[in-house]
Amino acid sequence: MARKIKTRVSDEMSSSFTSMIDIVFLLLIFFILQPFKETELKLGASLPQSGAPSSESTAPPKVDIKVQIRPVPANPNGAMYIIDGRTVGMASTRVYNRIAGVLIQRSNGDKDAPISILPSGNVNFQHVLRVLDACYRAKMPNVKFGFGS
Amino acid sequence: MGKKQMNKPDPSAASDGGGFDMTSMIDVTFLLLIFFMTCTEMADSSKSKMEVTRVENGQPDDVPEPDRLLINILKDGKVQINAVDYSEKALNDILHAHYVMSKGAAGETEKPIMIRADRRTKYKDVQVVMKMCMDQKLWKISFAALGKDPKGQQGEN
Repeated sequence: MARKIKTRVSDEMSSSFTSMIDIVFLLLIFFILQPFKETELKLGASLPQSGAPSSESTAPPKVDIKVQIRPVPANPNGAMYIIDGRTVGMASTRVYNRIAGVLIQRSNGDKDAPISILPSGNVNFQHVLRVLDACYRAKMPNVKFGFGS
Repeated sequence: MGKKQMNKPDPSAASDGGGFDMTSMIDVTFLLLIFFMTCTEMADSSKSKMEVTRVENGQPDDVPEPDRLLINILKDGKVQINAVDYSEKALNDILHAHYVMSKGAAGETEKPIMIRADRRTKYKDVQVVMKMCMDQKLWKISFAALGKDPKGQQGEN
């Protein structure tokens, strides 16, 4: 008699665990299938300050290094980079690396040299961010966005 | 008598010693569950679904400024804030409200704005938003990007 009661209790215990384990496994599968968290990065820039008070420095203003980004007629998703009137090349990983080098060369090692990014309206935004990325790589954070092109 | 007892299985044996002990398996399962729960990114309504450009340099955006306004610009140029579409006028109104709330005594503001645009968005659509920020004296902007792809692809073109 005592043996029968013991068996029934253990059976009830195991059956009550079954549904909980099912739910836990379902939750586990759900979280495994979710993508991992990928932290976003931020690239800071400043906009031209039209009404801002100008600094009263007597030093002559530095000339901006102008980076133009133009669309390529043959490739609607492509872009052409031009720095101070000189063509650097079409958008590609190799050219992104070259942009940073050209910026350092044009600035003569002045890390505070102002850079103006002047993209054409029809280029994809990724090409604009790549130039900003190149400025970060060259450790030249004084980047402005030009308007009017 | 003895023969009978040998052939008959003992019902208590399975539940006592012969059963499968699941305690350690449940422990491991719970640990895995906790691990995946903490690592998984839950839906963030402030970030619209889009393909963000991958870059190599940039600061991690782990702890965003509490008063930052995140503006999403989709591939077709549509502007969204917290998954709600905004027209140019509505966006201008919200930017103006942000400026008024954050401006100091001299009219200056350090209110941060983050622009999060799809990599295929045309620059002219981003430029419209940037111009509005500039007009509202919100000059401190940043752009959202993703880090380098572990596969080494940058998603060109």
